[in-house]
Amino acid sequence: MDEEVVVSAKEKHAKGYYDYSLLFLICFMVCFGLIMIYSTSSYNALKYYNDPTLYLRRQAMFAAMGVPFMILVSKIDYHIYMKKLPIIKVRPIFILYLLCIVLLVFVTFKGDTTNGSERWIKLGTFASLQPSELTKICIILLVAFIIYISPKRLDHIGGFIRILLFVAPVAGLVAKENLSTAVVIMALMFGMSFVASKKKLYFIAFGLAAIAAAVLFIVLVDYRSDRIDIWLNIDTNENGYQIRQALYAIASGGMFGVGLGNSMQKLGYIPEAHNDMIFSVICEELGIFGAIAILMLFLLLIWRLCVIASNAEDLYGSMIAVGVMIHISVQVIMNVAVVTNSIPSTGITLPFISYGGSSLMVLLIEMGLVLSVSNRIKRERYG
Amino acid sequence: MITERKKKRKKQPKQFTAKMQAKLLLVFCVVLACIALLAVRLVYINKADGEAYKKRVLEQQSYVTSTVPYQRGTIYDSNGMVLAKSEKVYNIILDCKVFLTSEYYYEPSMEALCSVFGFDEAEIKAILDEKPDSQYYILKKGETITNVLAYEAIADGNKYVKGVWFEEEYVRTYPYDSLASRIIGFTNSGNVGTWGVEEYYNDILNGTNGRTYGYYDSELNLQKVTKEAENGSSLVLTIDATIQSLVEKHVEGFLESKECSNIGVIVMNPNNGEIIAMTSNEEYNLNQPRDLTAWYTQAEIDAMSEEEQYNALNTIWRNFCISDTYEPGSTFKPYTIAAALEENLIEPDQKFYCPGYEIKGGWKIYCNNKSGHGWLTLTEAIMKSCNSALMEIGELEGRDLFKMYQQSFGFGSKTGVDLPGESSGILMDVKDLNETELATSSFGQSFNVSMVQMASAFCSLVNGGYYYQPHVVKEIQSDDGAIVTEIDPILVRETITKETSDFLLNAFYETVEAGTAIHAQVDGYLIGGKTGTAQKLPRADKKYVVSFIGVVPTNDPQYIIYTVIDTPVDETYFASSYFATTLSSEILEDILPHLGIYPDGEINYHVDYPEDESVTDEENTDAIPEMTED
Repeated sequence: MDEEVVVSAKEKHAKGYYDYSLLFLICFMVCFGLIMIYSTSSYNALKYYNDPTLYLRRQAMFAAMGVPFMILVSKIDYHIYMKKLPIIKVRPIFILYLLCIVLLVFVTFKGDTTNGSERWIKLGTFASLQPSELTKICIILLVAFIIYISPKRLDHIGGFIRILLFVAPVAGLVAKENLSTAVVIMALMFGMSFVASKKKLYFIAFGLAAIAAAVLFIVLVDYRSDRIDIWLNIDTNENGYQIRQALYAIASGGMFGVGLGNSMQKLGYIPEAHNDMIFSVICEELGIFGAIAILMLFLLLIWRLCVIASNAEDLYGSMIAVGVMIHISVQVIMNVAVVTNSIPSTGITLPFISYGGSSLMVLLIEMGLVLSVSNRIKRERYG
Repeated sequence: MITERKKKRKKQPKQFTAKMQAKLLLVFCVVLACIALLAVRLVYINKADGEAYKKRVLEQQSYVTSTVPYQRGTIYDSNGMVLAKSEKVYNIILDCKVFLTSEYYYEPSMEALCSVFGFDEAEIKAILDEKPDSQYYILKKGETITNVLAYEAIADGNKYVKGVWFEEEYVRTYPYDSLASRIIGFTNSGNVGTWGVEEYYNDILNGTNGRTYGYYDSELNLQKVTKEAENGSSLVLTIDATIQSLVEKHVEGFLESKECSNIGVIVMNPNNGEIIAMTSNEEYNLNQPRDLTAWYTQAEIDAMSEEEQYNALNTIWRNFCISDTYEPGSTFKPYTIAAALEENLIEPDQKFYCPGYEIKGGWKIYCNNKSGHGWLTLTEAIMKSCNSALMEIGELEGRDLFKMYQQSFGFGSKTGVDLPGESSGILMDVKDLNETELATSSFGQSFNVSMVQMASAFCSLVNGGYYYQPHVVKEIQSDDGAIVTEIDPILVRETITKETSDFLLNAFYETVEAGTAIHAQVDGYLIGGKTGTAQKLPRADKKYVVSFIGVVPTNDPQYIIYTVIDTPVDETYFASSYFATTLSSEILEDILPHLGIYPDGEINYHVDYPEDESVTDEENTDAIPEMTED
């Protein structure tokens, strides 16, 4: 691994390492996201709220809060999350785990309804919190901790099932309201365990079983099988409107796009273009060239996370980086796949770029954790 | 190396092993492969479906799930009477699939449908049998709101009544059928204006359609979103429906007793360019603009080819007042005189000698009185419509000055009236304006003008020289009745001075009092005006365009009227302006009281109430005893 050698060579000179290239990448992505949100939402915001910068300002507020918070998190030693608190003798990670379960249970019964689903908790009059987003951080930290305690147990199927038992109830609660986030959570757990384990075979078996279960689930639950029909007959199914519009947007972009701000499809044709479908407008305005450039940036970000995972001070830090890496990879792949109608429709945001305060905050906190891991990389590791 | 690391691990915290690194690399490769596949997919979508999808983006308008129609703006007359409006009607849609989903639905649904809308049960049954899967079968178009509400009341009370829904649509109606048809115009397919203000202000009258569409949110719930339609703006015309209908009534009356190829009347306010009434020939029914039966027999219509029918319709829809041009004749004389007065080439008290003809450029051009008027004052030259005097004045002006004033009065170019199909008329080039042509031009022959040009220029002659752009719309209102744009009079240019204007007003008064326009008199009114009898080309055919242009009252001009009759068929009067003056007189007598101008010598019952309502009552109570005392 040449890159690692280069990185470690750098480390020899730098005393306290900090992954500035990752920090820069994150900031770039967030700013690009703001531009695209303004481009996609200004028409509708002007139309319905008479204020073209409404969505931009909201998202910018979250970004302005999130980036300093990320830097703050990155300066905190990530080990404190798994060490017992001095007086009450409980690990913060378990407090977070319990909190997530309580919030998820709460939201199931008493959540605020936005877009027809109950998954928000109103915090005062200004902000609302999405517990399912918070759960992602919780699962990354928890799984990383369990693996850290005894990595060897994962070499047997029992170790994996032990982790599964921790994650399954949470994922189940999330799945009730938000299937795609549950899929992301399961993928996190599965991916982290896979990386930590020496075995491959039983993962392949589990993977196949999961796919079989998913297919059964889709076929058995009625309205979700309509989704398959939409996926297969995108041009004819009446309910495929949103995806069909996204495809029109992608196809009309061509090689270099119609130019930033010139999208036709965002003018009311793609519903909520600033949300899940933002990638289609990127394709329309910046073309295949721009879209692939964005995908390359995501790849670069994921690669940086791999490098940090490989060089982390200890297994705990590595697993946190692996978790974050899988989280971002899965969301990017699923989002782009939905927009291009490569998989059946499901609601999932494009990290850093799609509109959404909770989602952006959680991603920035995760990045803060990874930066914190990178901050503790010791140069003598390979020395 | 490996042993070294193993030793370290025992002392240090657990490490990320090489095996794990390998598996992480595997995961990264899978991610890389997925993203690469998606990139390929992006390129594929562009290559495979690019063109087809691009086209669909352009075709979107008809591709949305369902359209919420906007309401086209209403057209009001100057007093707020509705001249054109779009009414909401409903299409009854039968959803056979829903209708047949349960046998519980069948009977109550059928009963509601038949009882409210009067359908035949067998007929509905036939449709259901034939198309059991259809979800969109239009049973009836244009149903009224009353029946729809009645049906919905039944459906609300009985949950088994299902399978019928309603689609909104707007239908354009014109409550007064043919009133001001050529000013209003009509619409094709509900929102494409054709002729009149419907065409000229089409974009303002139209709104933006709303849409209802379905999509899946992130939780896979089908969301129905309705974007409301934006209704179009309304127009307030300067046309006064009462005046317009009176003018139309007189024109119809004339057409019943006499024959002519065209007739047109314009009533305008000279002080702001507002057109109060404008009619030509027989008005057509705006609710059935394509109905030829009022003009032709059924046999004639059947014999017509499609193109002939189209041409016939275009003739009917044509607005003579703005689209047709003709030689104005003597009504043009005041413009020639005004130009000479402005340039100080003649004096108001100057005298002219008329021998009955003039020889210009080798042609002997006769005056209307071939034996000659003898010595005349300038006012008498207008009163008696003397051609000789005018030819002299024309010669004094010379062709450059003459042409310059023609253009200054707006001849030869469009007035900019807010109606489609205006023509600009034809003026002679300066180089062609030789001695003969200048002589005939000076009394209104050898160039073409439109009625609206003449009327607008005449306004400036009587109002002190201010040429206002003629217009038929004075206000644009939003959907909820708020004024969006108030159309202020547009002063295009100043044509003449007040002195010239005053002189002409007096001369016009004398012309009606004791000159050629004597038949235009209306008892008790100070009416001024000028007649015109223009000989049509070829001159040998002895066909004439007769006209009268008038102003009332001459001491404070409030309204002008211009009447043109093209080629009246009559043994006695075909070459005199008698028809035009009498018709104008009859019209004025009827419309002036409605316009708030009352004959002198009678009691003026009209009270000008102050606009502020709060003081109206006080003033009224004060005013009544005073009036009784008088």
